[in-house]
Amino acid sequence: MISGIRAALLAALLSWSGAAVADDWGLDELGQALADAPDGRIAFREERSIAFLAAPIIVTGYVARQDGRIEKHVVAPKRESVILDGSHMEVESEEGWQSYDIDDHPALRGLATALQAGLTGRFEPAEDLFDIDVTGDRAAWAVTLSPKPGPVAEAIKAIALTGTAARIDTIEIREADGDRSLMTLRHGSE
Amino acid sequence: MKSLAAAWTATLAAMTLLAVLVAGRAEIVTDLSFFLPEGRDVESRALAAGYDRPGTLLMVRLSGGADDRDTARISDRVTADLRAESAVALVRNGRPHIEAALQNFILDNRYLLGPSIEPDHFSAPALESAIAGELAGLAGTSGWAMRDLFPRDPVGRYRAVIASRAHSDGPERRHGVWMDDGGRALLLIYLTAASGDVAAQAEAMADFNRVIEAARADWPDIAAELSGPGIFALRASEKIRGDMTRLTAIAVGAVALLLLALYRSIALLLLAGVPVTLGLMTGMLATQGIFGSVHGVAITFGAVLAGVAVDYPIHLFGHRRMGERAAEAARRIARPMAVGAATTFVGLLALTQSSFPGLAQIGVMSATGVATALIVSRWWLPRLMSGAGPVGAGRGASAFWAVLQNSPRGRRAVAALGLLIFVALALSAALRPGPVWETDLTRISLADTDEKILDQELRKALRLPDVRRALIVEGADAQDVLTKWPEVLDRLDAAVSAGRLGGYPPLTGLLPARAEQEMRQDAMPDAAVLQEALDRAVVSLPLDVAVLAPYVADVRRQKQAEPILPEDLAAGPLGILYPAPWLTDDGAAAMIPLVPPIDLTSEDLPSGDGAARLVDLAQIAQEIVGGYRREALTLLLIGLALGGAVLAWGARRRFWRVALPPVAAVALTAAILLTAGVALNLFHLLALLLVASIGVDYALFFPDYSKSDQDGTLGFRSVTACCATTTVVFAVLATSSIPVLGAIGTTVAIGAVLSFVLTLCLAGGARSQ
Repeated sequence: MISGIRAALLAALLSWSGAAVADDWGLDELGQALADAPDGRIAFREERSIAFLAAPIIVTGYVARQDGRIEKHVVAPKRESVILDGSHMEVESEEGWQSYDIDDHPALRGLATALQAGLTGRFEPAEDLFDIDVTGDRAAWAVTLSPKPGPVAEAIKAIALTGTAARIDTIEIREADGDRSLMTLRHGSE
Repeated sequence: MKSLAAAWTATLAAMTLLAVLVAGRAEIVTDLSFFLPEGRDVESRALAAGYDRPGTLLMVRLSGGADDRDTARISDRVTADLRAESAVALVRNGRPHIEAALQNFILDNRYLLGPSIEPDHFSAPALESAIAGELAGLAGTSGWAMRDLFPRDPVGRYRAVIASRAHSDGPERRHGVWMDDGGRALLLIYLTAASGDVAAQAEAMADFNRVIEAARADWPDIAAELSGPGIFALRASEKIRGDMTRLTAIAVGAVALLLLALYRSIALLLLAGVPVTLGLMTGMLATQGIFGSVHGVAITFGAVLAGVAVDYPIHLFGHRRMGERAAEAARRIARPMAVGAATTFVGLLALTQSSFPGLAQIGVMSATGVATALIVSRWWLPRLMSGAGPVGAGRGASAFWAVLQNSPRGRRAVAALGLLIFVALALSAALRPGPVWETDLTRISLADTDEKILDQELRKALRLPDVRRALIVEGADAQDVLTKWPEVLDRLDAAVSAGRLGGYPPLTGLLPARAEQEMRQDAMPDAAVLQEALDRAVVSLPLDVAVLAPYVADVRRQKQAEPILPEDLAAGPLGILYPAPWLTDDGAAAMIPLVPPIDLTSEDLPSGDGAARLVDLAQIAQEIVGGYRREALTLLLIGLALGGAVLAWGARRRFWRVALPPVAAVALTAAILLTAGVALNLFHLLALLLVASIGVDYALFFPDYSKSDQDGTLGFRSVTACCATTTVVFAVLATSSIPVLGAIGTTVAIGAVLSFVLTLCLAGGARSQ
């Protein structure tokens, strides 16, 4: 599975900082921060470890939120634009245009649900698919999404996000088959 | 009395036996095969292509969403549900999707199928560059879809096969699915069944309706419009079936009422049914025996002919004198009855020689039926009739006859008037602007205008190939056709790039010729050689070469595999999409469907030996039907000549008096039809044969020929009854929604009345003898 996309979606979901938040730091506060985030773009560097490869693949580019849509633009090694629109993922690359129905792919469906919930600042729909655990405090927080038993769990072992205040720093996706993706976001460097 | 009961028992037993045979043996088909040519020549097969092959195309237009996005959701839902139906082979709604069976087949044979392979494809540098490209691709979303394939296909050969010569991308997409300008979702469905398999079509339609109904739970306003060859076949079958049942019931009911009114005897009514029923059943069995199945149209025609065969019992009743034994009456009228039946029989016999299977079926069915009805009426029916006296109905007809009887001048006046009308009609027919022969096949087809318009709209919206124009590639055999294929497709590709062609279906060029496949197999390296090249290729790549073991195994397997033949492909999961070559009288040919616009010039086709040519299927169909018509005309003329010979032998010196009314009736009927603006088709000709047969019958049975009584009242009455029943049956048939039956009905109804009137006028004068 291309963890890059999922990571990007989550990055987009979680990476826009909100205004001041309450001293208490929890899922509600994080959600509020994300809901209030302005549109924008953030550069990323992603390391994808695939079992049969001796070294990880490095992917770079930026993610953006535009009018409620989530976009991921890969710049290297191959240009590609991914747009999440409703329940479909549209991909434009050198090989042409493609559209995937995320309902056909449980892993993507879980990720998209989480993404859409996060965009509105509401985690309730994502809670149907994941157990969500928030640890740490406002200065250094971590969210772990563990899929509930079902098709999503067959593809994804866990998704881990870390951040500082309303800023997300890393997104790690561990897949059920052992493959792994770590995306590091570099705010303000784009 | 005892023998009567025994005769009835024997009759019922025979009818039961025949009914059981018919029910058990006869396979009644109501599809469009009736109209299809049987030949193995290129054109006939091009026309029939797809009819008996799996993969009926179904075009669907869906609406009912709140907005485009919502309609896209409907499209996805319906598509997903349809994919779960076993009657459905493939569903396309615009999203990338490939069925697992298709994907596996192409994947397993990716080096034998698809575009040619570069000579250095398996060299270490080429492998290194290809694998590096694929690794970079794994970072992308298509990589996400392809990642599992990487160990088997690290060089992306599968995608190269899929992408090769892929032109037509279908309609515009909105929210990822195909939609027309009006925001209606478009779907393409390929059914597992052939379009000619009507039962399977009906099941598939039921499946489709169930899927739509289920989706209505979430979108109550869903509207689904469907079209496609299978739908047309199904609707045609339903129409034929419906007309068969409805018209037969109405005609039988009307004749029964008429006979009841004339003879006021239920016993006679039942008697009249015996030869007709037996004739119909033997006709069906004979047709089944010769053709392997009986077509609904032939049955309906046979049932219609029963309306003529019912004349025999009517004559038998009508000519029976007071107190006479039925057998005596039968003996007395045996000659005119036999001459009439023999005339009809030989006329129909000529039709059995037709190369048009439908016409030949009608010939066998009807000739057998007429012969049976005659034999039964002559030798068996009298045994079933009790000693009761003749019937005393038809007083009005008798009075009418008496008037004409005593007024030869009146008859001559009517005849002269008839002649005048005929000349006028013939002149106006000759001068009328329209064509004499029906050449527009679509007017013979069963689909109505709205259905045809919808079909055209959907084809256009889905950017499907043109239904008329296609490219035919011919060769000495199937392999020869495949060998010519790449050059043809190269030129078409150039035409597509230049905008002179919209495209052609994907996978058309998937299968190379056997020789090309064998060449590729020779070029594929042995496992050891490939392994060595891979070892060198991955040196600079972050890849353990052991991961690629499945690739080495795959290449080795394909190197040793039997080359794929067109029939293998046609029988496999790709058969539905692959336009396999077919065998012809002189070799093999294949048809490449073309997507409009089609502005090909002669330069777009390979030069020399006419290997590829653009054909117009509608024109081919017209030519085939025109050929049938010419053949039918010849056969009918032969039939008429044979009938005339039989008549000359049977009627001797009265030949002209007997032959003139039917000939005049046929000419006049044709003149009336043409004057009314009807372009004649094959079935009008067939009907005119019936008119001739009916006319002969009337002329033979007119009082001057039969000698049942002194003043001819009995003969006149029975002919009147015959004419009434025939006219009623064919007038009912004229209301048929099936153009074929409607044509026959109109023609014979007019012809029967004309035959009666003309016989009255022309043949009646001999009473003076």
